[in-house]
Amino acid sequence: MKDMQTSFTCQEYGDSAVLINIENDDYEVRWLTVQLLGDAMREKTSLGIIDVVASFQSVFISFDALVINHSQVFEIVKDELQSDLTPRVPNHFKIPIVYGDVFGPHINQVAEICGISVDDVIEIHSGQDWAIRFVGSPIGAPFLDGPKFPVSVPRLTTPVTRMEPGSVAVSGLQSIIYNAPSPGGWQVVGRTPVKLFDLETNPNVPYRAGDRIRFIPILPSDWDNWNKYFHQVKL
Amino acid sequence: MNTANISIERVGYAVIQDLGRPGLAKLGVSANGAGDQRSARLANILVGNDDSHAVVEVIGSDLVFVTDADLLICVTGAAKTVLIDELPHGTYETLVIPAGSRVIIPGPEFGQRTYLGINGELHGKRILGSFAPDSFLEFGERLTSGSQLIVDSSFDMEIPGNELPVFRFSVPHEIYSKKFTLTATLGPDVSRLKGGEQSFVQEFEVLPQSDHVGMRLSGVGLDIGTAGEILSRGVPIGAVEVPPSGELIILLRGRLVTAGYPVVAVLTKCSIDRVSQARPGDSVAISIIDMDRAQLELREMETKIQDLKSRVGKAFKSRGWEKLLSH
Repeated sequence: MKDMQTSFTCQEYGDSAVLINIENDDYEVRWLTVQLLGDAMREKTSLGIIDVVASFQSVFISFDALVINHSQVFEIVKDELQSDLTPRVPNHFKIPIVYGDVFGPHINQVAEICGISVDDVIEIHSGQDWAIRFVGSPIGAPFLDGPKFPVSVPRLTTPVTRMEPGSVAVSGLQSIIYNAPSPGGWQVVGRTPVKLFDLETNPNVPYRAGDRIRFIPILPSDWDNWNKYFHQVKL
Repeated sequence: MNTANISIERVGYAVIQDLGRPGLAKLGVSANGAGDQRSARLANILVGNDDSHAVVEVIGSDLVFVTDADLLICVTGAAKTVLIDELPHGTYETLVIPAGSRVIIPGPEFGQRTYLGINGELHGKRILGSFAPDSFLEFGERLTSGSQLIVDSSFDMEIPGNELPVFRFSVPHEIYSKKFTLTATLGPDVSRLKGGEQSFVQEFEVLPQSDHVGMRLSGVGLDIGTAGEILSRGVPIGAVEVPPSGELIILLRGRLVTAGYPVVAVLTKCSIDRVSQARPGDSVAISIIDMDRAQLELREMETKIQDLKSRVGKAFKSRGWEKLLSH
């Protein structure tokens, strides 16, 4: 992960965690460094590392404070950041989605905010591949780049108490898929019938940070044809 | 090995629980598990179980049950007493329950979480290695009157030395009131707090919107300024967040693994257990300590737990109860 322009800061984050911030002017370098550091730290469970969350520009690392301490974790991080950057080869996934209506209750609002038609919203959202930046909560939610709407879509003024599982929501220039019923504050444009999180498979989600997702618009009448777990779907 | 059927006769809110699913944040799976981890561990340790065994977590209510086989149990957490066939016994004590007994664990006056440890293995479904309920996994079943719990245990009354009280281990534990004093270390965004560390010198009130994901606190609004949004990033359990409204949110074990509000402090491990006992309307004071003291506090707590474990082990062995031990 060696890069002359990349520096980082280490912060104590309670008695059993640290937060590593990666600094670099290049968004992609920053993100890739975060992800590779995250992967490396996940291999260190035998040293007392418990959880690692690598997101956009920071890596959260929790540990067993009876086994290892903050400065020892910082030392490991420093060593890992000395190794070379190897970009990932992304996998591509196609995710069917029903836009609008009860499936995407906020799509009209999003169109209005952007000053474009609903069809334009759909075209922009499904028109290109989006990178998965990280996998987060609720269970296995992919946090995606895009869509490139003309304006940054704000969060809902009043968060929704229950997003239906499969809801695809946007906020700013980001997109997320809710794999579980969840409260949420993002604007829902559509819903996928495919269940992405599967307890029976290992790993439980088929994708990881760096992979690409393309949304494929389908009709509500096709919902039941797709109402399956992801690993059962042949695209 | 005996199989005991425990019939729940009366209960408010209770679930089968364990220490949760740490280590799965990479999948966006929350830790969950017993809100008061220390009390859950002690309930297991005092009946000879490994810390990680399933226990019953009762929240703010009575639990009444009848067993059809002999049991070795221990009650920890907020409850103050255990009635066995109407005779009162102590919590944090290893108790023998003869078959046919009715056990009443009265709901607590202060605090809210009570743990019932039972020697042996509770039957139940696990997901991703844990019994812990998780609303996102749509997993976990509330016990109701009429629910049956099944336990496989090597304990029975034929075992020698079963007179009550079986043991009296002196177990240091929390005494709850309406007031909770917590310790925390400063968080990464404390510099955004206009009042700095002084902002914490006040009492906060637990709001009713609190749940297993987060506890909301009201108080004199904290001024976090208008600096830009924080990109989603990993957050620890116990993080003290300040949303733009200025109230405090303490993230609990059901927290989503990433969040974007400024984190001004993080509760110590010991205080996360403690705060999980606070109810809406209770008051919470947060005192900021340095990291060395936080770690010392943590090590002291763990030393006491390990010491208890070894005392229980020795006591069980001295009565020839080796087969009951799994810790």
